[in-house]
Amino acid sequence: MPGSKKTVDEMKKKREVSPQLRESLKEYNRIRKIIISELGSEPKTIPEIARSSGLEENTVTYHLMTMMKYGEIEEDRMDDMDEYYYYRLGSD
Amino acid sequence: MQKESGHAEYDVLVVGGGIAGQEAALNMGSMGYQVLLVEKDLSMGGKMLQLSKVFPTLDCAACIATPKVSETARHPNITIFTNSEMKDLSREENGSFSGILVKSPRYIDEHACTGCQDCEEACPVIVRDQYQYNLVGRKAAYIPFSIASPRVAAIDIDNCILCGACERACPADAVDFRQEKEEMPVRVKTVIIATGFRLFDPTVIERYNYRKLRNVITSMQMERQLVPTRPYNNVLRPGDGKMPDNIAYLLCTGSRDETLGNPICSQVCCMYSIKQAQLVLGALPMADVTIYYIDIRAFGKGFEEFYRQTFDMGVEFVKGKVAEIDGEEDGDLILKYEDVETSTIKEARHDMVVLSVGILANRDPENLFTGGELDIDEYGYVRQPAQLSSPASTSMEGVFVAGTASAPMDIPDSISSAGAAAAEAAGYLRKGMMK
Ligand SMILES: Cc1cc2nc3c(=O)[nH]c(=O)nc-3n(C[C@H](O)[C@H](O)[C@H](O)COP(=O)(O)OP(=O)(O)OC[C@H]3O[C@@H](n4cnc5c(N)ncnc54)[C@H](O)[C@@H]3O)c2cc1C
Ligand code: SF4
Repeated sequence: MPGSKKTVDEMKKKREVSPQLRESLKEYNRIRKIIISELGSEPKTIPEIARSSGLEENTVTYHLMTMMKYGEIEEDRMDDMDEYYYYRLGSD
Repeated sequence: MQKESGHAEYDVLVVGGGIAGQEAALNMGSMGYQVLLVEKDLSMGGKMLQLSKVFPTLDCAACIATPKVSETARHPNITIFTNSEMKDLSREENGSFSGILVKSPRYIDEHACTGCQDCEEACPVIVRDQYQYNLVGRKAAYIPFSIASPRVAAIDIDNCILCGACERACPADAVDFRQEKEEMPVRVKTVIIATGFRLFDPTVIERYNYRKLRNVITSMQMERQLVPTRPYNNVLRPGDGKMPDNIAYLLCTGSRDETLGNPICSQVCCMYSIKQAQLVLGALPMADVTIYYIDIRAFGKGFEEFYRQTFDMGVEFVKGKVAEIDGEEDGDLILKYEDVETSTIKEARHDMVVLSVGILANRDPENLFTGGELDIDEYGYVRQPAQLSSPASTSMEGVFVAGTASAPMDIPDSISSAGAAAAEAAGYLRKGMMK
């Protein structure tokens, strides 16, 4: 039956997960949650998210684009200057 | 594959599954020879599978490369091992080569995996995606990229938190953390080296501030931004997601530069930059594109016409050497350059800079054979002792070279050189191998 075997337990006996990896995963999720809450009320551009959250613009870009790749975020309209896209939370 | 004295036997070993390795393998396979193709990466295809369109025809790279990859994968005379390398290759008394094929674990049963990506969805880890040249993240359980061959998942064990989510999610029961490195002895009669090239790492040139200034990117990162499976929703600045409207290209980054130890021309950077300029204008019709160059090398069939076409499209060419790139508060970039025409130092402002990084030798072939029998040239490429009369020959009888393993070259030349390598290898086998 799929999902019944647990070979990962054998790997756990052989390998340790590094604290840095756990730390960087925590950091990803922290930023992900900030972006989700930033976009909760209305679509925003990357600089708008950065300004109101205090995150660096390039950090927002990397995380937001990764979230878009996995369907958590969608592209919205462009701003009036045709410079930045607005982004909104994904529909599913 | 026949087995004799514990060795799997093939007529020819092709090392590297880029466009050159595939072409060589297909030629040999179609002549009836049994081919072993060993690819180091998780997928076949090499750099070409990551490109957008190709100069000078602007054909879609994947549309040409993908059918070739599938033809290679399906060929009855070709056996492919991905995520694998050869070690301890040495010549035996009868002229054959024996060695060990080392297959690294991908922790996925390749035959069971259906490519459904359920493991990827379940995986909670995010790390930088090397196939998108770090512009975006990927999971630790992942299909390398959409047109990968084989299109099966792999687990990046160094970045895995061992949560087991992928294993629980997989409907095909394909996840297997018990996999270990496998070693298989093989024997072949002839070898074709097609290990390709490395990209120049521009962090070496500190005054360009690559990585520190986020809107300075490499040509490979731009190449990814121009494909349908791009990392972003358009061509955008990694620094802040702005749609750039004034893009600069810096040709010869890491090439023709004695101080960097690479005095030779990379052969493709002029042309791929001209290609990208045309594609960028397709994606961003309002943008300005400026190409900073030393001189333009447009020597191939159709290249000069292709180059001239970019003038008509409004691309600006500046003969100038860029000394330094500095960043502004708003993410824009200031280029300090010597205008060669007027011999003056000038400054220019752009909102994105693309470094047209050069091609460097992949040093792997150096250690392919025991005993250091294979000669490498002064730039690290496989030496061609008879470049004019027998371009595919190497310093070792029965060992041939194809594609960018021997020198920088474009795709058509890589394919031609692979054809030559296959013809020379077949001739060698027909003659009854070593003299
Ligand atoms: C930004 C950019 C844009 C380009 N655009 C164009 C274009 O538009 N048109 C054009 O004609 N050319 C273009 N080129 C050049 C083109 O990419 C090369 O000509 C072509 O990829 C060379 O193919 P190859 O098979 O020799 O090498 P690669 O593509 O490098 O393939 C080598 C393969 O060997 C594998 N390998 C390496 N070492 C080992 C080992 N030890 N054991 C087993 N396997 C190994 C690698 O994983 C890889 O799969 C471009 C290059 C760049 C950098
Ligand atoms: S390993 Fe399993 S879950 Fe992952 S892609 Fe393959 S079949 Fe799907």
